[in-house]
Amino acid sequence: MRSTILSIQIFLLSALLSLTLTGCSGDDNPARGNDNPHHIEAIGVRILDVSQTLLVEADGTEVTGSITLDRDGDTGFLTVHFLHPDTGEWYDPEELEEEHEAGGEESHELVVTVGSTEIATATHGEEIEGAPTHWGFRLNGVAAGATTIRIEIYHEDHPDYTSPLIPVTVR
Amino acid sequence: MKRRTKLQLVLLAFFALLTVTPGVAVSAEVASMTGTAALVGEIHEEVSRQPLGFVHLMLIELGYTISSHPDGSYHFFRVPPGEYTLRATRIGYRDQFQRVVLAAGDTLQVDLILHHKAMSLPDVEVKGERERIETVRHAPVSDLVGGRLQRNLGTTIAETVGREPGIAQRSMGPAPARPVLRGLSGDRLLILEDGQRTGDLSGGSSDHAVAIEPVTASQIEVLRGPETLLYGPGVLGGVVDVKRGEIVRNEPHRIFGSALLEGGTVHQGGAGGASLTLPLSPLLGGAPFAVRMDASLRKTGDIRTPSGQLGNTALQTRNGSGSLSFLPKWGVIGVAGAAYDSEYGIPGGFVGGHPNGVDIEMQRNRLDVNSALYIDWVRLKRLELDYSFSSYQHTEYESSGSVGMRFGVLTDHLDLKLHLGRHAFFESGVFGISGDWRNYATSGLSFTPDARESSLGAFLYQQREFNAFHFDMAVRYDLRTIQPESERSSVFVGRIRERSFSGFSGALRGETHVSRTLTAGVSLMKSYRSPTIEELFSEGPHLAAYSYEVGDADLGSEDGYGTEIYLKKEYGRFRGHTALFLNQFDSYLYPRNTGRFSPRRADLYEYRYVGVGVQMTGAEGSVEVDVADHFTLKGSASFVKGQLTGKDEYLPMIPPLHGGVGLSWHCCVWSLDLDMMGAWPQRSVGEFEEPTAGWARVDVTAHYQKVHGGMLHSIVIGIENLLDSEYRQHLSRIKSVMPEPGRNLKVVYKVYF
Repeated sequence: MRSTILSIQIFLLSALLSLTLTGCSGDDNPARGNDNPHHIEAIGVRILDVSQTLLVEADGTEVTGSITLDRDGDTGFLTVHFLHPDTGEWYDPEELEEEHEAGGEESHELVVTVGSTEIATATHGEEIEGAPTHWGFRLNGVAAGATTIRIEIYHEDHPDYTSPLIPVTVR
Repeated sequence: MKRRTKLQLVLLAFFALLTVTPGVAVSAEVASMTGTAALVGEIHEEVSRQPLGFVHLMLIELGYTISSHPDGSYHFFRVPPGEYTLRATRIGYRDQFQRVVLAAGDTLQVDLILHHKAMSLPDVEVKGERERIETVRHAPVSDLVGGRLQRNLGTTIAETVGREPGIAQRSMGPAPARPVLRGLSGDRLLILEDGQRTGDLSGGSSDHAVAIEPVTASQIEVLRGPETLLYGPGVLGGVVDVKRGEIVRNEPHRIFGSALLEGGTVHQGGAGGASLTLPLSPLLGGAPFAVRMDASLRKTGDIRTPSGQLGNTALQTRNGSGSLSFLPKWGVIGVAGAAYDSEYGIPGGFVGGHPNGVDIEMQRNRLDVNSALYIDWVRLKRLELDYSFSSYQHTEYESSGSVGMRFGVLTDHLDLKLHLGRHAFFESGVFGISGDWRNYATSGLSFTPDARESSLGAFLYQQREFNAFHFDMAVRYDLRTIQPESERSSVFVGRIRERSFSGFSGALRGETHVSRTLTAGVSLMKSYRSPTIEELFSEGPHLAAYSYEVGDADLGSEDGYGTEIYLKKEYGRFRGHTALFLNQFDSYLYPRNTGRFSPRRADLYEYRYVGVGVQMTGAEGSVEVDVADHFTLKGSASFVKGQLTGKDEYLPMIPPLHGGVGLSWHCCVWSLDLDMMGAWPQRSVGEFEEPTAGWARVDVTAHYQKVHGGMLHSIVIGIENLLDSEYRQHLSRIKSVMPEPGRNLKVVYKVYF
């Protein structure tokens, strides 16, 4: 009888150990709080010319409008606005970025990729002297034809937003 | 106070009370509970009658394993009383099964004669008082052990079991692969390690690898039917249990273990591993302690295919574990720690994927505490309490080397099982409760909220035998709560909030011996699966899977209904099995390709989790015929068709009709296998899914085994894809980029000591 009681006690102690350990997980999740970067939220892009006239609107995956320019000419400085998924409002990324930088967060970068650089090339805002913002670009016509551009917001080395293909025609 | 903390305190208080006041819990009737039995015997070879050493012996229901001594003797000591199935397995010989009935204080002697493969049918010689029982109740649908496991050993668990009837493998390169059984995978086909969940995320996405290294596995079982509900409610596909024997559960009386080396030319790499079990009682004055340890290392390069090298498919895996067991005659208490880490690549080159692919690092650390108390009082046989904690981390690196995505999952799992003896209508069974607490977090390029998940389940499994009729059943009830860290609304996912689910699952199986050679059975099952955190709340690009995945916060649970009819025939030189099955889901949860790009990432196709009615019908069969002494002809085929209910639309990622034929020659210490495997074209494809062409490949394998120097040496030399055929598996996510591996010279050496 004594050995039986002892065996039950030992078993229950191991059970007690198991139940005590059940709290192990706690809040030490290795993926929590690991340089969680702040992403810019966008589900659409608008491209506006120098007079703030809307040239192209990509709302989700639907694209309205196109960009047309002359061979050996350029579009002038084009700026971009983005559509916020939660508010449903178009916003100027310059303002959002100021908030992020004030919060000590990383900056974001606009990247414009041209489908065929034999038809057109892109010059980014930071490469244009006197550009009002780096959230803009200029397209330069190289040869007559049709191509596309894709607008991306880069955050470190990954895009937080990638637009659908936007048609470009060089006359 | 959180619910979980309250539950812990209540349970702790309950056990503490029992611990300090044993008189309350123990009645005089329990005094006999520490009586155990012994099972001993000798094993001989059929022709020469020479003793056979290194026979792998297992008491299936208990999970006790030993190997016979070089002189053919074996001893299971301190076995709790009960009815068990003894299984004996040895390379080159037919498996032997024997029912044994052990009463407290008994020493039962069961001598076995093992028969060479492709020879006359086995018989068993029993010396003892107990009556021989023919039926094997706990028979898995597939079982890889010993030589078969060594011959089929692959880089992953999926590759290792991939040749079994009805099983295909879903893959995304050589490392992330998961078995698919009758078209079901993910959380519908559980992968367990020593009966416990792995704590990884392999069920959620095709780029997540299974955190189990096959090198140190001693047995892989595939289970289907009522007993699967002991492990979870949603397992309509079944359970793949990889047994490593991490915690020693029966006292060893000698040092034993094994070591394995494996290499292949197709990836210019290999693996090595060893396991060792030591009794500590000689060192501790007879105190019944034992330790076990194992370790393995795998390092392979990029895979070679007939179309060239498949970049970014190299793999490196390290695995190690150690355990200490206390094995008194009244039970078992064991503690084990294990670490697993793996680095592997996902090939690139897809629309939306990185040109150079994605690199993944995965780590999983685990702590297990297992306790068993042998009771044998009235109808109660054994009480088991198993606890495990796992910390899993998985990081996806973009081509530049920076972190793209990180997943972290902490899991506590608690399992309490009470094994029941003969009572009321039933002969034996298990009643239990299980609880899981998961802490899920992501960081990097993800909008998925961190979340906590709690689940609690209660289950009952029972079985009964009436002469030629066997019946078993299980019922289970589960509760689950998922609590995101913060509540918010998302235009993509919906209202992210706490969700609670509950549901019943159950299964029933009847099997009868129509004649001495023919067995027929029917199995019915109702599964229940609540949606996962990913299915509810995920939102973000899955770079390695080349998709943008969006959950649905309003998803309901998934109910599945399975029906199976099967026949098994063993007549002289013929052995065959065939099954017809129908699985229906009224809300099958899966990520469906919407066919449009994501508004956030218009370079990635958007996959949305949906719940739709699905019907899967299929058939499978396998035959073996001993066409002459030493020669066996074998074949198997499996087919499943998955359709959306009421629609003329197929389910994606369903394997085509596949199977194989082969000829085996076994003699003495040698065996040779010539196999041809293949698949028909898959044209019944889901929306936006591409069809896949049919294929065939030829493998040839030689196996030699011999006892030398008191050790059993086993060498497998094989050439896989002998003709260097170029083929693509329908379930490979990278099939559009590269075919499957080309010709591979594989060598596996294993020594048992």
